[in-house]
Amino acid sequence: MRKENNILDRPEMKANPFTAPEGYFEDLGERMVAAALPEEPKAAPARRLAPYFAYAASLVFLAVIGTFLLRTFTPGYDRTDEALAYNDAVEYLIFTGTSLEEISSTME
Amino acid sequence: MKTDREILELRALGKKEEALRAIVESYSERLYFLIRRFGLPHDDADDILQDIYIKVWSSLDSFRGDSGLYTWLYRIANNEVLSNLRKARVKAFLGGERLENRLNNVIDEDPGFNGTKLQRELQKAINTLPPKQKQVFIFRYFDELPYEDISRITGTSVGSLKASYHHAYTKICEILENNF
Repeated sequence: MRKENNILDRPEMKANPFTAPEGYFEDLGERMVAAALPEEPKAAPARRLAPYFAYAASLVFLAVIGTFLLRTFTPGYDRTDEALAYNDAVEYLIFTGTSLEEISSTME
Repeated sequence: MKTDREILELRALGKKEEALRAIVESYSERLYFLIRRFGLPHDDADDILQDIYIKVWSSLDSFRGDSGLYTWLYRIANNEVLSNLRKARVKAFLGGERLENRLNNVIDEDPGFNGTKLQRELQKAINTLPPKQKQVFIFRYFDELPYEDISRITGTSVGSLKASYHHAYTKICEILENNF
């Protein structure tokens, strides 16, 4: 395979001809570590807002129950929209993903 | 700078982040210039280096230590470089160009290439090699790694590597001797 005085045997051939831009290696370590490490887990927006949703949901819930009681015990009150308001509240709770525990904790 | 043994001790003690920092500190320069040897420009080398360390972080726990740390790092680097070259080849093809020409332009236009004319032609000759020959030539000729280590890095048998190196070496000699 090898001839005498082979061109690839010349010492210069194995020398590194590449250079990096000036200062490249100075901040490389920190940059590479920062890129490799996983980001600190951030709470998802819905998760961060969950307590507020729970408060809002419980207020709606109380309003619905209060209205329901008021309407039930007020003689001659028109009950047409009663079922609609309740369903809205339930749908609201499901939509926001508010758990029963969250509702009960805000009502305590 | 820490030795491989010290780095592995940090990992064994559960100090994974410190182990990563030590790897980055000890290996970045070697890996950067290894990537450049494959003919890739500085920006690509920087991106690949980041990808290498992301993989190092995610697989540091599963590193069994039955091969040397540098062999393991070179294997990750080699896979990343070959994957990048495959993408570059497809992009060049879609652009109606040969990857070899693109890589040659990188060398010609790189202000950081400080080699002689002969070194420039050597790098261009390397660009003509198919990936398997290119990797074994770089690891064997420049880094002078034993075939057994190159086998662990590339997942290719020693016999096959020797044959590839012979073809690569002969081809490069022919190219250079025709030009000089």
